[in-house]
Amino acid sequence: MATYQISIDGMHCENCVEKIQTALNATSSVSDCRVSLPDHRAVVTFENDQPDLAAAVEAIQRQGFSVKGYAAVAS
Amino acid sequence: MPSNSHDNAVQLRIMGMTCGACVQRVEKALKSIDGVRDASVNLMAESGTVQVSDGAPDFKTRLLESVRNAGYDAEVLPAGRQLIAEWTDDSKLRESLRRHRQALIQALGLALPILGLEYLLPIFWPGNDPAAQLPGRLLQLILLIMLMVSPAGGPIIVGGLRALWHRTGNMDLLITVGVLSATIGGLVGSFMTEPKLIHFHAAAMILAIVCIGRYLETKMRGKATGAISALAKRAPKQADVKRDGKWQTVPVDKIQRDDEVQLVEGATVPVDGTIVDGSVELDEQILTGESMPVLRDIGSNVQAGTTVVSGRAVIRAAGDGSQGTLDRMLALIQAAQQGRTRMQRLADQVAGIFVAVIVAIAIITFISWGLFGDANGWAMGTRAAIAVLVVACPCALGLATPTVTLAASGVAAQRGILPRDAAALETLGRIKTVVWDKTGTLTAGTPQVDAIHVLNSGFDEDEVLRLAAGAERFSAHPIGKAIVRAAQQRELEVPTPASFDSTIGRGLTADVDGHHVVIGSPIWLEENDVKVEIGAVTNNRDIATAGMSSILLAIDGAHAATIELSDALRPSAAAALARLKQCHIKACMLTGDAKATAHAVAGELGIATEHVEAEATPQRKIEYIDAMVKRSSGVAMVGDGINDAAALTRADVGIAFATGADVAVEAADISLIGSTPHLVADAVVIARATTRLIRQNLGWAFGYNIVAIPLAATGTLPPALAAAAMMFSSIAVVLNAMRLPRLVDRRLERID
Repeated sequence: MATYQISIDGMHCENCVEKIQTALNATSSVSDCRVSLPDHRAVVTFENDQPDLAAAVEAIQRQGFSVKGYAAVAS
Repeated sequence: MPSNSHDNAVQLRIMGMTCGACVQRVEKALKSIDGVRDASVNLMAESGTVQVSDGAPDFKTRLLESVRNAGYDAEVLPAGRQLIAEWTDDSKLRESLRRHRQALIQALGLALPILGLEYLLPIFWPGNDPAAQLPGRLLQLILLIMLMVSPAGGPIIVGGLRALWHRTGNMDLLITVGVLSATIGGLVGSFMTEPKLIHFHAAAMILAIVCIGRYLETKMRGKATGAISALAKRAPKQADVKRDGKWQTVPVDKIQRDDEVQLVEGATVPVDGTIVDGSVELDEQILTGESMPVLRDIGSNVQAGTTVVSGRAVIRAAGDGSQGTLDRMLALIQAAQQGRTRMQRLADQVAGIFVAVIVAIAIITFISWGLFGDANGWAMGTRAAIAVLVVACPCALGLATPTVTLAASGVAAQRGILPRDAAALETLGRIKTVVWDKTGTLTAGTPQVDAIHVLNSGFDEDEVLRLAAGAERFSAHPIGKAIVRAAQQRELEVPTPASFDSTIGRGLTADVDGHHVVIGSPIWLEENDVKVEIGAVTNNRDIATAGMSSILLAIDGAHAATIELSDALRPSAAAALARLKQCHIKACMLTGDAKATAHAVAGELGIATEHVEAEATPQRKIEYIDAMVKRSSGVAMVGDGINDAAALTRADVGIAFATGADVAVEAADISLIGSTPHLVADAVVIARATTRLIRQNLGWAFGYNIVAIPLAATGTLPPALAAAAMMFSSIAVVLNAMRLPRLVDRRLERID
């Protein structure tokens, strides 16, 4: 289990949140995610300790948003 | 036709708007029309979309009228798919060919017996006694009337009478008046026993020859549009789309944004989109002119109209099935054909009064012969007047330009050159100077890593690049992407950062493989508590203006390297300029680069230093173009359409490189799809060949009429021969236009 906070640029509305949420949930290594519009970020929990960050970032980028950064959240 | 909302949207181009208030006025005007559900107007794009719930036949006219009443100008833009359907559907052309062929057979079937009788009459009724020949004459007349009402002659006569009714002159009118005069003359002659007045056979031959001419013309026009319909045929009709978790084959216009669409080997990409799974090799020649297949994998954008050479992928549609790149290209090509060139306007003016002038000449001919001729004067006058009417050919005048423009737009589109209208191509044919805005035209416009200056920090060049690429791995910034690309080119494994944080316009920090990496400007490094080694900061001050820039890298709190980036010249730039020089076109270069850099680049390209404007701001570029346009005629500017849009509009012709996704650059008169400066030389060659053929055609059309009409009026040219000459003159114009592709090829070879 590893949790990361990903900051996202370009979200405008709930629809955007929905899109990112769906995309992240469809990513196999992601077990849980919460996307926040006001904080411009997603908190993503990965299934194992070797998180597939590339898959998660690319899932977000593919939806047309840019990723400004990410960092592990101490659990 | 299913009636979803898309089918009932009308696209308008709206001209003359300057501000938000204009938008309001136009929208209000459009919405006030019955049947309009909604209207939205875009100020920048100068366009409007009208949602229609009911479509009366004159609906579009009313839309346009309402906009004009509001004080603006508007025109209807054709919908993409409809356009493609129109072009790919050759059933229309085949139907029209079939009709013309049938008319031709009927015309010959009726005209030949009439002609035959003309020669048989003296044999059956010897002695040339007109009274005795009357039954034969009546038979001729009956056959002639049959010809005039048959599907062969009918449309011509009806068209002529209709033109007379509306008091407009056209080709049909001249033919009709000629044929009817011959018939009436023949009728009078038969009963008055005056054989010299009888021209039944001439009337029949005129109609038959016109039918032959129309058939040949239809056949050739089909060929002339070949290039465009080939392009339109690239648009696939069906696609495999995922619906409810299952793959289904649906018509392309049913594809919606975000649909997943399957691409298989050999298929044509149906919509613009992004690959979400798999990878394919694409033949993008249709859009870029590049014949080598390109590998596209996850995350890459693909454009409609390109073909899958190998592989398999799933794309997510970026828009509806009718909003793709290919559709925009086709719409642009159509627009290009619609515009009228200066020369065409002249020809149209002449054609407008042409028919009236010819009728007047015919009447004068008839009266002159009657009054000043010998005993047979009136008979000869009739014959000569008929000849004048049928020899005159407004068709050649009318066809002179459009046939060439049509062929030109096809030839140009095949090479990825899209003029906004016919006039743009005409102007390009006259230019003498090309001003290049360097970035994005002579250079690729995307930075690349030139050199890495490693400082004494214990890391070698590859390690520095590997860490930098890791930090920039998810960056959307062009410089970040350039760094990642450089690492990939050296076959370095790009690590995933444990964390990273980027600040737009300044730099980023990241943790890569246990190292803390800071990348950015000197200020950014200092803000992150890194001491910048002054000597290592090379030409960083040029970041804003120069093509060359550098970026600093710190590892674990120490300045480790300076990475130099530049916007490299395209490999084909020098060759493209050399080709333009062979066309006797002077090259100038505008750039934001510092003088020394700019002059070095110009030297590489063979541009004289006095024709280089360095350190040019966008404002300076406008002034430069303005001054040049004032000083000399025929100035074209080539730019990327992004940073230099304003300057592009100031030149006589603005040429912009458009990327596949952005086909029509608003500011440009001519958009180039593809990434080689060679396209500019190609465009000039096409434009010049086009102008040349248009001139030839107009010269021929005018010259023909000037020579042929006196011959007809003096009686040298008998009516049937006059009709044949007329037919030949309009076919010659079409044939000449069809030479364009070969003429262009030949001239392109000459400057290679």
